[in-house]
Amino acid sequence: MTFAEAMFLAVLQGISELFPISSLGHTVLIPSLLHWKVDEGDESFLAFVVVLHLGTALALLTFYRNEWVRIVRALIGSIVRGRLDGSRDERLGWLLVAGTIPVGILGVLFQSSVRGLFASPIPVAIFLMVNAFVMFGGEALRRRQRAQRNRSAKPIERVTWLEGVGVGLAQSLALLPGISRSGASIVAGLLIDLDHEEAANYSFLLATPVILLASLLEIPTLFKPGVTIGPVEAIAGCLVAGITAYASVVFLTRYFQHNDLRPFGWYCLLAGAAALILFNTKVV
Amino acid sequence: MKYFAIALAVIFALCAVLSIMHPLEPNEMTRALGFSSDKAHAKHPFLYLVLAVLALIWLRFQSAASAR
Repeated sequence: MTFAEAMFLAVLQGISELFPISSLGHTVLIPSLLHWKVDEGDESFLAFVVVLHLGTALALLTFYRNEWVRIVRALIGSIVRGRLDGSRDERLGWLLVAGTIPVGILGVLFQSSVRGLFASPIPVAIFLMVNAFVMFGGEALRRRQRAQRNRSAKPIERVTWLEGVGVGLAQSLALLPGISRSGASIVAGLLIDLDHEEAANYSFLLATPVILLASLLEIPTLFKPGVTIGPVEAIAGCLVAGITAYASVVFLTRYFQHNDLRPFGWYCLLAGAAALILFNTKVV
Repeated sequence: MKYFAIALAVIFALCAVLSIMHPLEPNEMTRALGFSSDKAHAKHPFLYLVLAVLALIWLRFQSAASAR
């Protein structure tokens, strides 16, 4: 992988990790479409991906730093007291813990086997189209729910524990390459009556510990024998992915104040269909 | 429920020890659980330890509730 390819991958990772379009799906499809000589099972490539994830996680932590400080304080306070006082930060903190447990368990237990089965271009293209229908379906169901129940969106502190675990479970759909983590969790958030902005913020907060811990636990990969990634490439990749991810989260939190998931659904549908046609007709 | 929390904490702690020692024959099940001897597992022990700590925190909430 050349330096230019590495930086392109860093930008792609920074954008697609947070946009509901599946970063893993794009990491499989783009190098195949562009005929890059990238072995996705190679230790150096995996080490570089770890660095990119670390950059993304640090960007999310920086963006939500005030929120995380309040959440961690509230969590520690409730553990010391041995009871919940019902504050927003405390509720949000424990909801994030409850939502992270299913994705943590499923990710650690099944990630390797699921990726081994599906991380190739054609299944990814199909899952990208499924991701589009998840978003279209989520938006349609939400509109129907709102019309039937005639009620407004609820704040995060009124989310139940079961609903919190449900959003976490939805996030685990992203183990399938092509299904977006943020897309699945935003849709789940919408279905439990959060508005788009609150669902997106909750999704990004939920993604932070998962991405951060997964990348920190993979750091030893960087020091394995045979890993050829240089310090300049690693630092530049981390920085570029971090800056792009920060810009993405700034854009998306504003975007979801007034807009919905459908444009991303159309993108995934078209990109998945185009990739499927290109790979099946052997054009690429 | 207190005893359930204690049982969960003990089970997850044992799983953490097993995944650190990883002594079992490699197959689909032992690989998924992180107990297989074919490689060292980093994420599995961490996950089991976190789950054990969460079970202890749950126990703490239960104990404090019954003391009130």
